[in-house]
Amino acid sequence: MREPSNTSESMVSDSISDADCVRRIQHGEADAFEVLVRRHEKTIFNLVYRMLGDYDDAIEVSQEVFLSAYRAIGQFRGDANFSTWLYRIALNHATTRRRSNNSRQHRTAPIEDMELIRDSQPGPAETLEKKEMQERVQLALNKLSPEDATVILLRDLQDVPYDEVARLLEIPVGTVKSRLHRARQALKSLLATYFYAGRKAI
Amino acid sequence: MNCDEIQTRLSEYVEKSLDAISAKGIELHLLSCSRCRVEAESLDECMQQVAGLPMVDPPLGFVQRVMAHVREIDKTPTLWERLFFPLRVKIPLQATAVVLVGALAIVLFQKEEPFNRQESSEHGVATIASPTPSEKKNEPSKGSPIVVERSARDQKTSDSTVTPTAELAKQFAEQNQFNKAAAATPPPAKAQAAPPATVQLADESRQEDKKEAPRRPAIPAQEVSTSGEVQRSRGDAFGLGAAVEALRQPSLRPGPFLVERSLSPLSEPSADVEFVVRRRLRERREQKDAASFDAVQNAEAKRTTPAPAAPKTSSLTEIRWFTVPIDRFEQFKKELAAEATIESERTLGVMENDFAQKTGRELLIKVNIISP
Repeated sequence: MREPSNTSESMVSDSISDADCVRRIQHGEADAFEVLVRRHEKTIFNLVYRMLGDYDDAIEVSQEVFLSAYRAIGQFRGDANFSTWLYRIALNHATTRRRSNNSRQHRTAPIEDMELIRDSQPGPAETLEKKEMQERVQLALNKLSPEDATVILLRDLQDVPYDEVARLLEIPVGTVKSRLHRARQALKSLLATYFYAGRKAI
Repeated sequence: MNCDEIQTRLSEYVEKSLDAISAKGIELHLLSCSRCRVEAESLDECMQQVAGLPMVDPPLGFVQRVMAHVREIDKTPTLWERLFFPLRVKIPLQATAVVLVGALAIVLFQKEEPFNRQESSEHGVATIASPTPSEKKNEPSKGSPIVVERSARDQKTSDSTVTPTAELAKQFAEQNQFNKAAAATPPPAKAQAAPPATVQLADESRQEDKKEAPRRPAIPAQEVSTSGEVQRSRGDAFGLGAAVEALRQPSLRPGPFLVERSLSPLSEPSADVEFVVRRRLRERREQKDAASFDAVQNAEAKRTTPAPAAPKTSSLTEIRWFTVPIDRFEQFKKELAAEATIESERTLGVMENDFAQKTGRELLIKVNIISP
């Protein structure tokens, strides 16, 4: 799993392990939870953000994820890593929100949004093209099923090892691989035209 | 490997998670198959694009916001906390409630007391039987019916102060055991001074004199509310007398009042007739008793003997309840007058009185006994 890149934050929390923090919280030391939030906020927030494709939704859901974790921390027995346990909570919340958003036709990031971004943030042509592509990838991710989006994000964005993904999703590693292959195929078919367009342009 | 097999493994090939031999085979295939090569490039591009998505930063103050909510969760009181905290407010509140409930319970208990006793003494309800020649003292065992049967002979014996027979003396001795138990232990010095048998006889003689037997056919009456053993013995002491004492024969049939009056358990029963009587001074009676007894017994022994079961005079008003058939009311009243000075008489519940007369029901009589 990708650790937070911010070294100052890491320095704050590196002195105590996740398990120690959990133990302290379980003994009523609520402030120890702040260490865990700081340590995991970025990965959780990014996972949720890429699952939902909406920044405001991501703030709301990420907050729910941490609060749910705090409420349920008494039940955490340390069988798995705290991060795995937290990821599972995050994926549950994000999937639920994603489904309810889809059912309400609460669609995210239409093309116009990208143009707004382009207009408001002028920069070198290369940067613009990159940004545009990122928006298209996000849109494609949004169109995938939550299960497909989950494995792609865990493997390709968060670089979570196969066995960890398997534990997280509670499915065999073989199933993770086949699901990942199917998800990549689906994403590729959504983005293929842009790749070809890009190559032709080049 | 054909193209289909290649394509199922392309994903792993692209992310370089295949073993070296499989990877080499696919690599060779891709050199010759442009379709599979394009597929592999697209997959690789996809993965690169996802991996290239920039990490976004959570909003500033995200951690603080989460922690603020965490502290709110901690502050949310549990049911236990809601019941007992803050202590400085809730403890006095709950203590006050406990005190109030306790006071209410005591009030209710006292209100209901006559009825409880009525129930418990149902079997102690007494009526007067016809005078029989047998002479029997009341057995003061707790809870058992107290039977007082007086004979004309007994009455005669007491009044005329005839020397007690040996049998009577024996019964006196038995009664004295109760007297000793009920009353405070007599001063030991005096008890030793007098021969015990004599003392017992002296005690009993007085006791007997206080209890006058009825001289006419008995009144079937029920004592609705007994006042317990202590009050009963007190009643003996100041001798509300025949009408009171003789009422203590068991009656199997509780009066209709008993049921009806019980319907409102929080109020005491309303009497049909209420008397206020004043006890006669006991000195006079005692002197009389003593004089009569002295004629036949050791006077010295009597004087040294303290008053037995009779409790000390108190200013407390005693209330006793009786049920008397309506046609025997006048008789009851006369006997009551014979035993104590009737200070006042109040007839209540006239309608009920009339109704009782018609239906042959019994009157509920309340007698308030006040000290001389």
